[in-house]
Amino acid sequence: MPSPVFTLTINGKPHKVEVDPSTPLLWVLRDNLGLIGTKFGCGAGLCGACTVHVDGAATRSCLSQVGELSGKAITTIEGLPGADGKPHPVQQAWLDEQVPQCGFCQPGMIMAVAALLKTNPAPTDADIDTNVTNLCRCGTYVRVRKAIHRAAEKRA
Amino acid sequence: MSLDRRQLALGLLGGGVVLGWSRGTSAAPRGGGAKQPILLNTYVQVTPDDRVIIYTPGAEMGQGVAHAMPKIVAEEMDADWNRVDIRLSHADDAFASPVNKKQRSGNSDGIITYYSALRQMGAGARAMLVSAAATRWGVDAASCVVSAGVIRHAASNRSLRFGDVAEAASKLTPPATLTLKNPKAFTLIGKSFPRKDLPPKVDGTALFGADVRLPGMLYAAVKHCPVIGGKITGYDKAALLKRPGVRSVVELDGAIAVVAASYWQARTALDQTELEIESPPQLLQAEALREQLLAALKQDKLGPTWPTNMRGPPKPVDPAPVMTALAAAPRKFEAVYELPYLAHAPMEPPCCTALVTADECHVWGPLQAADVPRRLAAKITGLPLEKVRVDRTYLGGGFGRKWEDDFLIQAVTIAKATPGVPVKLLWTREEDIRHDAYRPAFATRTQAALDAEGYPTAMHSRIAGQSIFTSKSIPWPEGMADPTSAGGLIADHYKIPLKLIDYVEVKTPIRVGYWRSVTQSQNCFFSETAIDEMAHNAKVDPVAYREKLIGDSSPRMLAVMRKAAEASGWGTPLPKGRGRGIALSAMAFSLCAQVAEVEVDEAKRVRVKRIVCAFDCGLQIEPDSIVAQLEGGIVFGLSAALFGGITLEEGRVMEGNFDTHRIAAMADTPPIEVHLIQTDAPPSGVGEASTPVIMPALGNAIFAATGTRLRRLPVMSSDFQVMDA
Repeated sequence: MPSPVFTLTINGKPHKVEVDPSTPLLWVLRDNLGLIGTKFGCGAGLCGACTVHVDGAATRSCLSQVGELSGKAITTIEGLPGADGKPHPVQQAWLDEQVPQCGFCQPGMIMAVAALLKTNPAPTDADIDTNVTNLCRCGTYVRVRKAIHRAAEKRA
Repeated sequence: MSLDRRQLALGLLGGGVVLGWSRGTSAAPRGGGAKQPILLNTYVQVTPDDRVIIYTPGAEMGQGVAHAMPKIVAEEMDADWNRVDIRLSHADDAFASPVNKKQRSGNSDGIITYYSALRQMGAGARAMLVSAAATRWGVDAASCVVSAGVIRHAASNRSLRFGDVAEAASKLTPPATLTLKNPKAFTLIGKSFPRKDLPPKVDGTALFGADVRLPGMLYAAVKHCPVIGGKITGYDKAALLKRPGVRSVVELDGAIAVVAASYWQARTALDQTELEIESPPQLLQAEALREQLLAALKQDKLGPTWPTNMRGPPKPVDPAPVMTALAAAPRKFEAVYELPYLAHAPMEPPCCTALVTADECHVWGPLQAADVPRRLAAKITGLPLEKVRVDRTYLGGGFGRKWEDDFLIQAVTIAKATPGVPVKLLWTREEDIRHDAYRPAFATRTQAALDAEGYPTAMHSRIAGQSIFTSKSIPWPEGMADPTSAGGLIADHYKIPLKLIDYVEVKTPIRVGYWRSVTQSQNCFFSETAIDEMAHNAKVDPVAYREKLIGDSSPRMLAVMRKAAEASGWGTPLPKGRGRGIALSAMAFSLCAQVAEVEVDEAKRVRVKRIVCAFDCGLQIEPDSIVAQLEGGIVFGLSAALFGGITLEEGRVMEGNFDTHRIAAMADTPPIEVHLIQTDAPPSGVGEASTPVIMPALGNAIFAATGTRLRRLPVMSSDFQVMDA
């Protein structure tokens, strides 16, 4: 039985995909559309490696069903840089502070932080503790924290 | 493990390393043009438009070998770092370390086993390029100088770039003797600058194991028998094959795999399939496993011993002097300590892609080893080695998990069952947590005879637990304790006159393996907690106590300890409910000291306030990367100390995902300060060094704050709670 066809708007472009509506966005991005920057870490919304923006809000794509995303603007790590192609300020801060080690969790971490800085442009350390819950097994948190403050300062 | 370390030390002393000059199979130059790489040697290619392509022989799992290893080559080449492009290496004997003949990343031995080779490769490439330039100019090569990728002949004011002479250089062979730089002349090594593997990790283009995409590729999900020691006896295969997208089912060793058109379809199909299980006669239970370890500690007969001084070949240890001293001692110390099974849980779960045809096998995966996977793939497919290609992607964390063969064997076996079709195998997080090769659980008993001031004059430490070597069928010398269990249980740097370590092997069907820092991951806690207890019992400051015990045995250890103590404000007053704990570790020839500062409130909630680390790894290749590894290693160890532990009930691992298997998050991570100490020693290991130390440092700090001694971890399972932010 053929699956329904959905049109998803990703990084400003429409994409038609034919999948079961309960398929998580994560797998549509990775397997159907070849956008491999968004990662699978847990499949249960616990680690944040799959974080994308849906209508600007940080969303764990492993738990977002494709069937509910029509008409929403989805942004992945690939679409984070501005129209000029330059790194997003969070990405630049990540490079300036040399944050990543293995790098696997970082696209999700960067997406989560980019969304945080939109609503809270100058987060305190306590704000960061509460709001940045993405997991990093390499333990880059010390540098993530520094990079967040750096990106916040730059935007100020 | 320790036996290898001596061999590594010999390699480090350089000089005697003979490098077989090889071009390997790095490039298959095709066509031509300014961008076409020209092979100079296995590690180095130069393009006519002057890019220098350097391969890293290591597996890049965050520790920075994709940066540090090419940097060493570039240093000796005098390349322009801005024109260097890094590449990850595939499995090829030409990339094996001449020191240990292996192409694997683990054991913190990357720089140790490749430093000389990388220098020689860089110096050799440089010599070829200079020779080509000198020939073109009709001058003596010795009259040319190289700087930042430019070769100059000062007398005639002529210069050429590497790219200009790469073609001519590639036809030459390097001289029999190579001149390596004096380290004082290093311009890259020892300086920190941005890693070239970070931009793709920040923009999402870096390829990890699960990111490989090939035309016609299918996807596989796997489900293992959930009961350890049990068997899968049945499942509804017909129904499984009818599920949307499913193409085939492959039965594996202790697991079944579903191959489907998409991963989600494969995974959903398996999730909805019930496995009929036959349980073993005895189901593993946490309490019984614990009792087994504690009972083993009580056995009368001495187990195989571990030599407590690894200078020279291991000799059988005569226990009599220690036993006599202990029996006669008027003052004694005795304590029992326990540590749990630990899972690796790299952020990237095990995954691997394979393509098998009648003539070839191609594997892509996040693999710590390259040589072993290639041999295994050849064995499984029956193909000759030269027809098997193993490409390594970036690893989303290794920690020892990606050293294991299981997911590779599965991927190749599945691909063999679907010949001509590439198959990408992905494990779920639950399968990863429940079917790991765990760091074994251990229990130790330390007994010490004490002198009038409370210092140990004789010490007998016994350790009970599973042997990683047994689990992996790796033989070790008869009568000797398993190195991965017993090594370093009494630290070499403590001058205790009489030492005895014995090991009681406990056997269970639980699969065990190498977990970041391996032997030290448990023995640093056991050793440094015991020393700390003795210090407090003697009413001596723990730093002063260790200073006295170290004496003159290790000036470098004293230096890191004093640095950590000073930087942490050791000895300065703290408010009530706060305490500092110190711990030390020597591993992979490096030395690490940490001070943890904790706050514990009346409700026994623990918050780690600050961690200070001092570290000496000899020559530093990339200081910033070292700091990052130490920070990260501390968080890895802190996770284990606070939350880590695998529990078995009715033969099943109870933990499954990050809700039940908690790991440290931002809120759990305190400020971490790292102090690097420069010494003249050769470069030594970094990747695992800081992980073991935080565990006893934390326990020692909790004692200092509360007077309560934790002889078991994790903190979360004790009377203490971990405070949320």
